[in-house]
This record gives sequence, C-alpha cells and structure tokens, in this order.
Amino acid sequence: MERSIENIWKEGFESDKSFELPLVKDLYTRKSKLIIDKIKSTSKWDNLSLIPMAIFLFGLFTFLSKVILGIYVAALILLLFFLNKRMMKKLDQFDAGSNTYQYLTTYYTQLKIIQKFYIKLMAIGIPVFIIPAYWMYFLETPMMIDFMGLGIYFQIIIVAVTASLLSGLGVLCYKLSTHLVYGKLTTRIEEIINDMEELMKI
Amino acid sequence: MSKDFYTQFVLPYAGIIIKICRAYTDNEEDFQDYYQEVCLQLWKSRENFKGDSKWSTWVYRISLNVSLSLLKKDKKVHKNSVELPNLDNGVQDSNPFNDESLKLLYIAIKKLSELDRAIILLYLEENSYQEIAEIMGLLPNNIGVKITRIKKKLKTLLDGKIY
Repeated sequence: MERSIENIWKEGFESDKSFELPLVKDLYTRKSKLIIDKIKSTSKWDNLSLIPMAIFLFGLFTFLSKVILGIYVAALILLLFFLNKRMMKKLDQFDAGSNTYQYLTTYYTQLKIIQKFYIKLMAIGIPVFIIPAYWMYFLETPMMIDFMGLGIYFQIIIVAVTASLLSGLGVLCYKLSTHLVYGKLTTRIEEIINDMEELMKI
Repeated sequence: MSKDFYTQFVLPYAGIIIKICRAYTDNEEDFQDYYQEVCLQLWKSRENFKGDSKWSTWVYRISLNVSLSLLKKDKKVHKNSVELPNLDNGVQDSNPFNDESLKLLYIAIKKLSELDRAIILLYLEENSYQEIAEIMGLLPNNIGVKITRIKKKLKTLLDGKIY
C-alpha cells in the first residue's frame, strides 16, 4: 500500500537511528574565510586597476605635450601599485592554521596598521609628490611666471596652503574610498570578533 | 554559548533544527554551517523570547529565518559559479537517512520553492495551521489550501520518482 507523505516523514524519522547531532564547533571558520577571501580579491582588483590608470594618465599628458609629467605620474602610480602588492603579501603571511579568533584578530589588526600607514602616506606623500607635478604642469605658463614674481613669503604661504589642501583631500579620498570598498567587509570582521569575544565570556 | 543553554534549550529541539537545515542544504558542510548558525542565533536571540509562544515555535521561527537568509547569501556567492551536472537523473542523494522513502521525500521537498518548503516542513512536524501561520506570519485560512497544493506537488514528484 502506498504510504502518505505524513507517514513517510513520521516513520522515517522514528526508524532512523543514524541521526547524529552535529557538533557545535569552529562556528565562524568558514564565514571568516569567505570574508577574508573577499577582502583579498577586492584589494587585488583594486590594485590592478592602478595599471590602466597609469597608462591612461601617461597617454593624456603625452597628448597634452607634457611627456615628462606623464612619465612622472605613471611612475608614481606604478610605485603605489608595487607598494600595495608588498602590503598584500604581508597580509598573506599569517598562519591560516591558527585558530579562527587568533587569525581574525591578527588579520584585522594588520589591516588597521596598513590603513594607518596609507593615511600617513596620503597626508605626507600626496603634497610631497603632487606639488612637483603641479610645478611640471604649470612650468613656463603665465601662472607660474606670476607665481615666481611673488615674494618668497607669499610663495611659501601658497605652497603651504596648497600642500595642506592636497594632504586633507588625499586623506579624505582615501578614507572615503576605503569605506566604500572595504567598509562592509571590515564591519563584518568586527562583528565576528565581537560575537566570538561575547561567546568566550560565558 | 553556555553548556546549560545548549543542553536545556537546544538539544531537546535539535531534531527540529536538523530537519529544517537538511531541507535547505545540499551537502554536509553547508548543513553543519546552517545548524551551527541556528544554534548561535537561538542563543543570541534568547532575550528576545518573551514567552508569548512555545519555545519550540521560537526554534522553528529562528531555524527557518536563519536557513532562508543563509540560502539567500549562498545564492549570491554561487551566482556566478558553474553548477555541476546532476549525475543521478535529478536525484540529489546527500541526506544521510537510512529510510529510502524519507530520502526521496527530502529530495522532493528540496524541489519546492523556499516558502513551500517551510510550510510543508511545519505541517509534517504536526504544527497546527494557527501555529504555521504564526511562525510564517501568514493568515491561517490560507495555510490549508496552500498545504493541499504542496502535497499534490510532492505526490507528483514522488510518483515520477523526482526529476
């Protein structure tokens, strides 16, 4: 006689003695791995996007008859590309075999250290490297001739104000782009770490 | 999660969690993840349980909500991945049940939509229409009709030995 689905369900579970309870362990291992893999792949593509940008800017400045400036800007961007690559390699060196909590906290701390390093780099590096680029761009233009005609104090003030603006803008852009690209992922790591810490307290 | 909480509030209801998680996962690894996530969410949401309903109703609700949200996330992750061809004429044999009919029934349930799966699981677990409606946030008078349709679908799948 044909069994109804109700009977299949009831009798099936009653007769099933191989019904083993899963163990509650390594709660976050897979979840953490997914987030970290996502951060790795995002930063890889994020960094690779610098290459076409360097090529584009070199082409643009060459088109504007500013070949030296083009080479300078492209070299700067490529330098940033190699620096990012080195930083990513550093992040890859952690022992993935350590326990999830240890791995996540180490990864998160290192991520924050790297972000602080880039904020400093943007604050100092942007004015230091971009002001020479401005100089190259405006060289022999009426604007530069006017600037050179100013007193030394005025020149210093203009350079200092431009440097401060560039520095602020650089930091702001970095923070904003990092928040947009990695914000959600880092928040999820924070949530997991908090959850795990809460679990450990009990 | 404290051992006491697990022993008192999870372990006696583990059957519910297992049955629901099995219906929403296709492999052992995912099943373990879903089960653990449900346990964690039960523990995290323990303070939100006001005692207006039975604890088992709460367990059903959390198990279904967690399974559905994980399923959504997994779908996003696997959206661009290539699906492996089904080597067994549409029958996926990933449940560890000894009973062949139960195994087939699970395969048929997995062919249903996510919502239908939830309703039929609650029905098979002998929840009343009122309880199903309460857990799912639906109207009780719609449940009966819905269940009849789902059972018909399941019967067709089982008679054709699922495809």
